[in-house]
Amino acid sequence: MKILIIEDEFLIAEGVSLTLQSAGHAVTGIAEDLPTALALAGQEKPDMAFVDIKLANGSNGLDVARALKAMGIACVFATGNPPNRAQAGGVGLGYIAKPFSPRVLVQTAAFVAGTLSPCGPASVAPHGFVTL
Amino acid sequence: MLCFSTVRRLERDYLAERAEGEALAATLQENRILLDEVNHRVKNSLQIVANLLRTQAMRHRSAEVRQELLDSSSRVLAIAEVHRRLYGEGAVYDTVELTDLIRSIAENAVPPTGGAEPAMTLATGTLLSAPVDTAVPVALIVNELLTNSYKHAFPDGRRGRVTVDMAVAGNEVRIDVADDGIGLPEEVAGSSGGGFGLNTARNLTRQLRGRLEIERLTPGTRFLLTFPMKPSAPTQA
Repeated sequence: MKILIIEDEFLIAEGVSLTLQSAGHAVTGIAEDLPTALALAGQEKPDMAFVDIKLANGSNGLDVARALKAMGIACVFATGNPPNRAQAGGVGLGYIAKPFSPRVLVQTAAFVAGTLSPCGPASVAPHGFVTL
Repeated sequence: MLCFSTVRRLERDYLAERAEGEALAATLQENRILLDEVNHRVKNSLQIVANLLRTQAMRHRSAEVRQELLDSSSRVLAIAEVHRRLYGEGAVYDTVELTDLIRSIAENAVPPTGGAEPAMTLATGTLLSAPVDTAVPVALIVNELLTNSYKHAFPDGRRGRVTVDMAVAGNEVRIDVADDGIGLPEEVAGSSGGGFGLNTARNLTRQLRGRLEIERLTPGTRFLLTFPMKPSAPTQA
């Protein structure tokens, strides 16, 4: 699966990227704000994105997820400040709360891959993933 | 009958009290925002430390160093699980529910990828509020024992089962971590055998004034952690 990471903390983004790649996914880029996220999403056409809420240069992950949803890209928030259902307004599949383990990250990516497949999800939502 | 000056004095007192109440409410709100921000920073920083260690591990040439760094990353995440519960939504400041904590530690200890992951069963029927100075060592010990099982008990794709059980008897908590793998070598199961992880678990058990018993099964290994804990009343945030 092609995954975009939207996170302004380099060390977190790099760890997430390596973990997802070691699980067999293709990380199409790391964006730290809304304009970069939109540019990378347009070029690389990822299947999904992990999106932090507080981003660089005043960007907000909810705005990013709204824009990505319009482009047909599934979003999961990966954040220390998880939104509630009303705040998310239907733009994210769910969230994993920081600090999250590599297992939660990898299982969430696998679950989203299943959700996006024509056959539907292969498993129940993993531990640590909260549906919005 | 109240005279005019008394009415004016009461009105002044009322307005002063109201202003004082509003100032206190504003200060309380500022403190809540500040606390939320500090908590956010703590969680973010713990995620950064864990990822930094993991990233360094995955880029290291030496398999031995790589494993040591991955183990340290896992320890940071075990501590982070306690913090997440202390400061999350609906959390209390000074206690952590132990069953839920152990469940997350156990879920996180399973290797993130790999073809032959042993199955895990977890039976922790008792809800138990633990103070932070108990929750952190317990999280680290259980993480260490589970990591040990997944790392050593099932070599060469061997399949098996890891179980975690928690029970309370009087003022004692018993956490039983067992696997049906190849078993610990006799010298490791002894009172001071094993590497950094197992010895850290022994030292943290001493800090809890508890006992860590290691039993060699056929097949497998059983770790029994027992420690005293009085029920504590949580402080609502």
